[in-house]
Amino acid sequence: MLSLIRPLGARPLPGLEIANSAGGKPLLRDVHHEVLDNGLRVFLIESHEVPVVSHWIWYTVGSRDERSGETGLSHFLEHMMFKGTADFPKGSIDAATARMGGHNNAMTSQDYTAYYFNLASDRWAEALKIEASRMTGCLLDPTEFESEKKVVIEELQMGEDEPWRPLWQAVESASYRIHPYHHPIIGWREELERLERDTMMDYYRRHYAPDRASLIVVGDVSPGMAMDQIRETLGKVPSSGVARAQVLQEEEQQGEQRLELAFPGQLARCAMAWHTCRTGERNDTVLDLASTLLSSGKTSRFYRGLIQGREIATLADVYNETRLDPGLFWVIAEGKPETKPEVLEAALLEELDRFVADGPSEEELARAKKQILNSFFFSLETVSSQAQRLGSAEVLAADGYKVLERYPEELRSIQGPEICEVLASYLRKSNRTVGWSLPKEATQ
Amino acid sequence: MTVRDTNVGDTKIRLETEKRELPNGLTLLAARKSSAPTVAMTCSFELNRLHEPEGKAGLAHMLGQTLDEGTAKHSSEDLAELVEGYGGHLSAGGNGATVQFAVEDVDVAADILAEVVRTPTFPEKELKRAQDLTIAEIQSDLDEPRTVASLAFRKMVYGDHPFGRPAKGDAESVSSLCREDLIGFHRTWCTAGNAVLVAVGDLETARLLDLLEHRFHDWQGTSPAYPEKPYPTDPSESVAQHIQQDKSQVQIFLGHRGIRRMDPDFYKLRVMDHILGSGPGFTSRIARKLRDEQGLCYAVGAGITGSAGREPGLFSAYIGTSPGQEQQAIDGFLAEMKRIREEPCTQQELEDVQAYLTGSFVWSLERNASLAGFLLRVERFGLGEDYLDRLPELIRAVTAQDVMESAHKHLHPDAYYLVTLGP
Repeated sequence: MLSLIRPLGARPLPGLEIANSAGGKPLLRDVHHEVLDNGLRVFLIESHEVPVVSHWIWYTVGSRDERSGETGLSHFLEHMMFKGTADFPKGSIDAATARMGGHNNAMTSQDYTAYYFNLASDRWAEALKIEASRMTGCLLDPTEFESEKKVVIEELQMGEDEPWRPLWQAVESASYRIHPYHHPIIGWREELERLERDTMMDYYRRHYAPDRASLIVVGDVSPGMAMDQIRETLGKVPSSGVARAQVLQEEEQQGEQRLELAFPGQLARCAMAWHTCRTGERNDTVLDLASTLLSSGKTSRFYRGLIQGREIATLADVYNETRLDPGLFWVIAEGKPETKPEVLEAALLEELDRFVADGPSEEELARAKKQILNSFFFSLETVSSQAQRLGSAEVLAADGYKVLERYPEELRSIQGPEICEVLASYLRKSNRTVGWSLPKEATQ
Repeated sequence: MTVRDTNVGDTKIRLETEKRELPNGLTLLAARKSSAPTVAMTCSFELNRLHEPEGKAGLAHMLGQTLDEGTAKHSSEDLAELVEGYGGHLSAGGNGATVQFAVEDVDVAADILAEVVRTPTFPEKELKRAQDLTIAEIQSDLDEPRTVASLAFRKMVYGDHPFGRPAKGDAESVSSLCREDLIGFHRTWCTAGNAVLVAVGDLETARLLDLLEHRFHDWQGTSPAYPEKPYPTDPSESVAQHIQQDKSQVQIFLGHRGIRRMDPDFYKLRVMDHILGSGPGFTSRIARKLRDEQGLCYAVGAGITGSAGREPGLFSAYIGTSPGQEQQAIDGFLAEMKRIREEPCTQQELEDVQAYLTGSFVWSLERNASLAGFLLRVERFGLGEDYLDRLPELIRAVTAQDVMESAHKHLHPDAYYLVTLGP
C-alpha cells in the first residue's frame, strides 16, 4: 500500500513522496468526516502551522472502469478537465491557480482519478468553485478534444522510450488476463486514436458526480466554516445515483508466465510480479513490512545480497502495489553490464526463498517497523502528503481511511512467522509473471 | 535569534531563525518548524566539478558515494544499521550530507552528520564497489534518451570546461580513482572554512545550534581559494548535433550558456522565464503554444534561472515530440525567444507571474530539508537575513521593459546549440 505510486499525471510530475506519537505529536491528526446529502464524502484535517491548504478531490473512476474500446478514457478525460468548463474557460484554471500563488495537478491510476490544489488558506475556497464547476460542467470542446488527443499520444510515446515503462506494462498486462487491470492506464494506442468526443461525454456523465467522490482538505481551516463553504459549492451538485459497476475478477493464475522485450538500450532489466491482495487487508500491511525488509535502505536483504554482496545489480527493489482489487507484489532489478540475466534472476529468487524460509531477525523486523512508522512523521511536513495519504486510503481500502487508524497497531502486531507464511502463500512459481527487457542486440 | 512574521507575497508566515558564527570560522544556521516531529540537518561544502584535479572527473560525485561508507567509528554496515534502526535517512552527495530523523532522535542525527562529514575513512573495499556501481550507472543513464540528449547539450555548451562533463565522470576516470584521491580531496575541501551547517526542525533554534556547535566547534581547517576556470567563448552562429537512436519521440534541447545566480538581471530573468517557458501548468507562452494549442508534446519547458548557481547555468528549451514535428517545435522555440526579446510582455502577463512568484514561495519552504536548502542559499550567496522580506519587492520591481531588455541581453536565438536525439 505504501510503496508504488505511479499513476499518470496531467503533466510531468516530480517523484511523489508519499503516522502513535513523537515529540508529543501523533502519527495521524484527527479527521473530521461528514457525508453530504448528495453523497459527497468530506474529510478535513486541521493543521494551522502554516497558512496553507491542500485540497484534493478523488473520483472512484480509473482505467479499471473502462470497457473494451474505450481504454485510456479516464486519463484522457483528466487532461480535458483543464480544457474548459462553463464557468472556467480553457487555460483559466491554471491561470487562476498561478495568480493565487498556488499549484494544481491531477493523476489517474487504475482505481481513481484525483485532482489537487495547494493554495493559501485565505483563498483555498476558490478550489471548491472550480471543482464544483468541472464535476458536471466540463465542456469537452471538440477542437480541444482532438488537440489534447495528440498530447496524450505524445505522452504514450514518451513512455515507450523509457527503459522501465514498457516492461512494467507488459508484465502487468500478462498478469491480468480477464480483469481490466490488463490494459494500460494510458490506453491502447489504436483505441485512443479512435476515441470520440461523445464517448468521453458519456463516460464523464456516468462517472463524475458527488456520490462518486471524496473531498480531502488538509491545512489551516476551521471545520465549521469550511463545511459551510463546501455545502455552498460542491454540496449543490446533484448526485447521479449511479454506483460503480462491478468488473470481472481475475481467476487464479495457472502457472508461471514469461515474456521478453527487446529494448534499444545497454542493460538488462527484470520485472517479476505475483498476484496478492487488496489495499487495507492485513496481508497488505504484512507485505509493506516484507517489501521494506527486502529492499528499503542499505540494511535490506536485496541491497546487502545483490548490490553490496554479489555486486550483480545496479538496483533491486520490491514494491507492494495493492489496489482496490487484488494487486501485485513486484520485484524489479537492473543487472550490471556484465551480469547474465539468468544469474540475476536466480539470485533474486534465492534471496526471496531464503527470506521466506528463515524470516527476518528480531532486529531487522524492529528496524523495518520503525522505518515505516517514521514515514508517517515525515509525511506530516507537508499538507499535501497528508491529504494524499488519506485520500488514497479512502478510495482504495474497503473500510476507507479507517485503515490508517488501525495501521500502526496492526504493523506492530506482525511477527516474523506471519511474514513468512503470507509470502509463501503468494510467492509461488505458478502465481508469477517474469518479464525481461533485454538489449535489442541480445534478442536478435 | 530572529523571529519574524514575514509576508511571502500576501501569505504571512512566522519564521524563527538563528545564526551563529563559531571561532573556527564555521557558520551555523537553524530554523524552527513545528508542523512535524522531525528534524533535518545539512552540512554543505562549496564543492563541484571545478575542484576535481585533472583526469579525476567524477571525484566529487564519488566523495558523495563514499562519505557514508565507513567512518572512524563505524563500518559501512554498522552505520547503515544505526541510521535505519532509528528510522532515519542519511544521504550524501558531491557537496555534503543531509540527515533526516524523528525529532526525538536529534542527538543521534547530529552525531551521524558530524561523523560522516568529519571522519570518513573511504575503505578500499567500499570504494571499489562504489566505482563499479557508478560505472554501471553511467551505462544505465545511456538508456534514458532524455539524459543522453541533455548530456550532449551540456558538452556542446561548456566544451572542455569541467561543467561540460557528466557529474559522475566517465568509466575511465572513475576507474582511475583511488583511496588517496578521496582522502586528499576530503582533507582539502571538506573543512570548517568551506562548510555551512543548517538544522531545521521541531526544536528551539538555540538548542539546534547547540547540538551542532557541540559536535563541530573543534573542527579545524581552511580550504584553498575557489578555483576559477575560463569558459569557452559563445558560438557566433548556431551549431546543431543529431544523435541517431531508434525511438518513438525526438528529444530536443536548444539553448546556450546561461547566467550566474548573482547576475544583476536574475530577478528580471526569473519573471521572464515564467512568461516564456517555466510557468506552472500551461501558463507560459511556450507550453501554451506548443502543447496546448499545437499538441506537439507532453513535456516542454524553457528557462535560464533554474540552473543559475555560483557558476553560469544553461539557458535551455526542451521538448519531446514525434518524429516529423521537430522543425515546428524548434521554430516555436525560436519565435518565442525572439518575441520576448523584441516586444514587451503584456501588463497582465507581468502581474500574473509576479503574483505567482511571490505567492507560491511559501510552498518551497514547507519541508524541513527544503527550508534548510533555502537558508543555505541565502548564506552562500549573501542574500541577507531579510531576504525573505525583500523577495516580493525584488519580484514586483520588475517591469515589462526589464523583461524585454534582459531577454534581449541573455537569449540568443541566432547563436544557439541544438541537440536532437531520435530516429
